[in-house]
Amino acid sequence: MRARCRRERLFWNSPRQTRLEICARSLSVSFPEPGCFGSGPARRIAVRNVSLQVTPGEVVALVGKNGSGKSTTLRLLAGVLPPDGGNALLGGIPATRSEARRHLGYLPEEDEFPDGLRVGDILRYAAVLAGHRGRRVRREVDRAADAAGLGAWLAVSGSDCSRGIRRQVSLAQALLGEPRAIVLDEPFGGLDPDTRVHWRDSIRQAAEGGAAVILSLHDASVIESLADRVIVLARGAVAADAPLEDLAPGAGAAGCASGADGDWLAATLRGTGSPAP
Amino acid sequence: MLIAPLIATAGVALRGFLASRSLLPVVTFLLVAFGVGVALSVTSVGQAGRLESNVAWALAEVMGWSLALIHGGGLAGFPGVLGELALARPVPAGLLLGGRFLGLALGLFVYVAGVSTCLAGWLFLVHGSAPGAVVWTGWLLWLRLVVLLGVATLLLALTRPAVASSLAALVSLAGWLAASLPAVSAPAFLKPVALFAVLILPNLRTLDGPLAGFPSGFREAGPNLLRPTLYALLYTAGMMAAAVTVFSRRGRRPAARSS
Repeated sequence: MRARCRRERLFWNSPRQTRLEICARSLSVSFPEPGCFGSGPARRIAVRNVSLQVTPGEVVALVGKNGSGKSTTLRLLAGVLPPDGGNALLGGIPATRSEARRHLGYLPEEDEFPDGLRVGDILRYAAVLAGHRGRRVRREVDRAADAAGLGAWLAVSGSDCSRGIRRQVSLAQALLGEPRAIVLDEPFGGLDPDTRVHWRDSIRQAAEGGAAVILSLHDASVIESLADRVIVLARGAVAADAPLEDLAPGAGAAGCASGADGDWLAATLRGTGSPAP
Repeated sequence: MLIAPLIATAGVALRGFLASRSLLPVVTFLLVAFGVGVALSVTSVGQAGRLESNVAWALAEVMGWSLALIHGGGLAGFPGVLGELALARPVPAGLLLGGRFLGLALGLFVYVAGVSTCLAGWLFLVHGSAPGAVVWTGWLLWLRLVVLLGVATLLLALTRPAVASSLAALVSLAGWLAASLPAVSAPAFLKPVALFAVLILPNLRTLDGPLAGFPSGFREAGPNLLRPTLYALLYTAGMMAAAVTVFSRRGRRPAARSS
């Protein structure tokens, strides 16, 4: 049995009614190389022909070396970045269309908040943009703050918070309103061990509530305790897509039982080759 | 349905503008330079109030341009409401851009209103009267800044913040000069080019009405304000429509976010 969240108030209090799938079909994107005056004519391929699927209730870990295209793939899946080719679909709708993102929770790589906002304002703004109105905004903000343990930080300016708190604020806004498709880019960066466990349990609970979850991770023990399936990216392409048990024998069902101390992850990444320069 | 996100985005942009570090040096410079202007005005004979007004408006114009270019072009407060936290939400990207514009336009209004109020208060306290022209001059200054903000926003949708701010400054200067183009004697084949430039570039001279001659109120100033106000609204609406279209088609991100 996977560890359950120990805090009383959680993001997911009830099973969601609509189930939503995250899907990518032959996703490709490239960026212009720098030239003498800004962008040059040459382009660097960041993601090439990536196809994947995350079903409701599933947690998929996206792993790969630095520069392998993880963050770009997640930005494509969240609709923040449009693909040059292929499709990123949320519930069958292209992610770049705003209606597709109605039930999306997205955590970007960087914690960038608008200037001059306190933590409570950031969550409130996220709730309004997520489509909540009136009293529902306050309810969602209170719930997210309670679940994240950010109650004492609501009146603090976002720019004055530590890196770990900023990460938690970003996580709280991403999981606000019980999203059904969750895309998280390195969610545990800067978090202390206890907080990491809390958020890991919250994410697991979201999946158990029916959310489709894809997240980029670097820590083998976290992957083992959280992911059902692992997708390995190398040079912007999918190098492997397999259940956790296939890549890390003995991990997964036993929760945090680390398969050979995480050596499986290093071995898997070594086997996929180095990223493109 | 989209009104709430628009208002919320405008509010966030306004708070970012007011909390910005660029505002403090601007206000400090304004006060110091105005103090110098006041010190120099004692050398004038009976025209101290007018000299102080002119100094204050010139400084407010320069500092206002700086604020509009820095914030509109994205040199400050970027990415702010155009960050990925907002872009991943179920609202059209154009709405975020529009909300950002509204918030910054309100911020510039607060700036101009502050300058106008301080100047009117100074003139009243020191010289015993505050001409009504302060209000209308402030209004026209705000219109110019809003047009500048629209140009900078369009350019931000096209290119990087530093380039957008620089180009917006150049375009606005060219627009100021372009108003004279039709009067310049030029070969016939250049006339359409000049006309096109006048239409495309922001004609800031239109927004610089000589209101000093209408000190007594709206009856005289009103007709002179109507045309510039309409021009500023239409021109800015055009700029924003283009900015929203470009921003949406560029993949819902400013050019600076592409790599």
